[in-house]
Amino acid sequence: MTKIVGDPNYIAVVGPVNSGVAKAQIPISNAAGLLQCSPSNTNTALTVGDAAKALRTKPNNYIRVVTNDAIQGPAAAAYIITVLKKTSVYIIDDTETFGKGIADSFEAEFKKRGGTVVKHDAAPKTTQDYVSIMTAAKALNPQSIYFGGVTASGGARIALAAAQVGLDVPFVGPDGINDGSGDTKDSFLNLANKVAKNAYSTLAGPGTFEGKDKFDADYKKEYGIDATGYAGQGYACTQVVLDALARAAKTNPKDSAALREAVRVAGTDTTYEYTLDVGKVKFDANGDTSQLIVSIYSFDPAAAKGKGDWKYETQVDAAQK
Amino acid sequence: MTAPIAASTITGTAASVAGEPMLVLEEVNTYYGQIHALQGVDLSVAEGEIVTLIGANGAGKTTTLKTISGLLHPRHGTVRFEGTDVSRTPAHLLVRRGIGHAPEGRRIFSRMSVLENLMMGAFTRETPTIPPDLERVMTLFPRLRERSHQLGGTLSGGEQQMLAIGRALMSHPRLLLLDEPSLGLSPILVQQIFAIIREINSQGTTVLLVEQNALQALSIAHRAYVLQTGRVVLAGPAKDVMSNETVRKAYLGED
Amino acid sequence: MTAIASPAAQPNPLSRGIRMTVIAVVAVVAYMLILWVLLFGLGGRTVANAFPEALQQTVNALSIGAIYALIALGYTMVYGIIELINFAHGDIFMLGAFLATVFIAGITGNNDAVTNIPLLIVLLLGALVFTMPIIGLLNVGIERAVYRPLRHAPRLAPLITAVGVSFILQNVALTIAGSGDRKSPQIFPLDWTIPIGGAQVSILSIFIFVLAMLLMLALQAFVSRTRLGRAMRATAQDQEASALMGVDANQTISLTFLIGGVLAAAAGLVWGLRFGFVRFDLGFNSGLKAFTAAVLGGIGNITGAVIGGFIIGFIENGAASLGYSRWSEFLVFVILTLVLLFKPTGILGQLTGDRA
Repeated sequence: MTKIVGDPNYIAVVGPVNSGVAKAQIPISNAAGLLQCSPSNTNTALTVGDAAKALRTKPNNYIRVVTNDAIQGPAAAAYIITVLKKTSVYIIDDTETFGKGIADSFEAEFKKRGGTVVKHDAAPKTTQDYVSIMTAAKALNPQSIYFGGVTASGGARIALAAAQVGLDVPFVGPDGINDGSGDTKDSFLNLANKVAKNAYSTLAGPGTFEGKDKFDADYKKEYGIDATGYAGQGYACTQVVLDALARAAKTNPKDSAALREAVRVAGTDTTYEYTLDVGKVKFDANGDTSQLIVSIYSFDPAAAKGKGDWKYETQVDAAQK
Repeated sequence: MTAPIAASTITGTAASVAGEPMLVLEEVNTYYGQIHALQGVDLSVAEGEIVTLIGANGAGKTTTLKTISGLLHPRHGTVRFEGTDVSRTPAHLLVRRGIGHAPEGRRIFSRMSVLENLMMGAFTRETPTIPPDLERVMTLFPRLRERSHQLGGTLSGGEQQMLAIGRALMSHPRLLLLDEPSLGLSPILVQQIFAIIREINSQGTTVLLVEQNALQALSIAHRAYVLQTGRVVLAGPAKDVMSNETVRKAYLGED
Repeated sequence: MTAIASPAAQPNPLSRGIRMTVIAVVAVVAYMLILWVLLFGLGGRTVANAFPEALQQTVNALSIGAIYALIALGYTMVYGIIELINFAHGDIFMLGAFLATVFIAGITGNNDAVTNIPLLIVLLLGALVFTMPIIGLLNVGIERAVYRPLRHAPRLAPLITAVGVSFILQNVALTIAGSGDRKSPQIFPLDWTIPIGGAQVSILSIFIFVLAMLLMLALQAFVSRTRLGRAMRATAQDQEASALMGVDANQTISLTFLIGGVLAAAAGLVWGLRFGFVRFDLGFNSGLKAFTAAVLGGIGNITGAVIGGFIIGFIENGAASLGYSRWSEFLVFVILTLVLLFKPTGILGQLTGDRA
């Protein structure tokens, strides 16, 4: 990032993918006034509150087209209670910023909706023996499990251990386990395999939008791989940057530094409504999207030539409570 | 040390049987790093002999034994055992050739039982040949039989010495190197140990004995070498060495 | 404990074995009962519900403890014989887990749960027969190529080198297998259970424990009863004196690395069966815990490593049972620190005669 901000040819950045990376990048890009649009950062503290303010020394330069974990976690809670009709949950997070954050917001919403949290445990990604943890979980008789974390920090291992001890209840996780089909290397579905039959995941954006089929087909044609996870959001960010660039160009900036600043101003304009692939979107002063949609996915074992894939179920729109 | 007898004038007497003596050291120079510990040692031991190596602390007695048994290798010079140059042969192979070494400080395996220590001594032997040897050692050292299941580390000093000698005998050596077997023992035990050494020798084992207790050593040895700062300064039949004026003054505590 | 030094308490190996077994059984039962009490005292379970859970958790603890114990043996034996903390040993275990995974996946094509018992036995034995020699010889090769030239170097040199070897092995795995979890086929059917006291005790757990115990008893018999085993103990105690007995120290050291590798490979196989995944950095944490187990038991002491492995297994399991998984590593190291503070030689350090 330091290299990018030092090169005046860069006028905006699409990315990063990971919230942890964003936390490190924002102070640098912010000081340089470089517009950053993330397709997948969902950590709440990147945009809201004192932690977010501490990352910034200058006017905001960071926007994201996905909603944040304060919306994503509660959406899962709403889905478990209202659609799956499960009233108790065992929560386990990976102790990391994203995992713990989303598990906490999930827990608050689950309780608010009258559900019972039998236990909120935490196991760092270095944990060896998940079987013992799941044995304890099973003894508490939860009707569902919520995992706060990503595949690499234990998602699939926990699902495997839960199956091993016979804890056969819906296993719900955030976008961190919605990381491709059973055919994708390292993905939750690839590892959890058959035990994923009762798994659900969320994405912090619309799971379907107008023209998604065409988008998926074009994506496959262009890159040779399936459009997974936040591929549509990646495109949306590109649209945002191009749109901002077009509007910035109209102000006739005199040099590249002025152009960069003009792009930042245009990009973060809270009054402008973008028309993106994922829908009509505005960004607030924090850089968060006005689209408060979280999609819910279930496991479809027949998809991806029998290797299984996530299947879009429904979406929860927090804007229409 | 005004008039040491030149070693070369005496070595001829060592050749008892036809051909070369059992063990021959020629111009052996051994180093510990930069320290020149043996500075051209010539020495020989004929089959059936008890030869003793006497000298002050640091004279190179232990180094000589270690060089013979292969724990150390000479930088120059040769060690020949039964006609073969073994200067570069590692210790664990020399045992198989027939050199047994009861090292300085006994070095028994303290966390093994007496029996296990003896079995270690027989490491190079075929299993069926072990029981008679075990019997022989137990007969030589009845104390070891009594304590055969006790850990080596729990034995008294004298018992440990017996174990060290017994263990070396278990390899069925033709040449037995003994390093300070009387060290730290009570006078009665010292007598016992020397009696046993003589018995071992009479049963056909050649013995090279390093001792600070020179009088005792000379009394049972056939021949003797006197080492001083890494050199042989005197050699000859034990009786002659014992009667040598300088030896009496320096090592036998006479004025 | 002082009795060990007196002639009267000379270990008749059999009676000592019985005594150890009794102590072990008492300790395991005590753990289960304490866990039972804690579960309904702190964990909010009912008295009746807590019992099967405590039983189940005890079986879990024995099974993870057995894995740690198998790895810990490699640390303790190598330390015993050349006083090297072989930091790469955890990665040897990791490679064992990978190799077993490759073997099983290669034959079964990633299918879980082989319910045909003869086929399952053949597969498991095949995986052991395939993995153990390869990993054992790899460990021997590493010693010969890397540690042996440094045998007489200052002690820091081989130690740092071991850390380097650890990184190399991890990077080899990373390059070949990638950075994510790799699926390991769980061919041992996970739904095979025996109902005991209201709990469904998984047969896989019992299999892991029994396999580990068999290997450890075989090791114990080898070390205490055979000529080469004796030579190993002798070399550990006094390398020069054992050379004078005719023992080739290099050969004995190679043998030690071979055995360490073989046991780590077995641990790797059962790891995959139980947890269903392998990853390139698996050896780091497992290795750290197994090393802790070895130190806890008294490094250099075989029985100590086994006891240490199970203690770590029980600590981890206790934390997980009561919902404090995030503290399990912290607890392990607190206990290690306390033991080292009050008994620097570890639980069995230098008290018994079976160091190797």
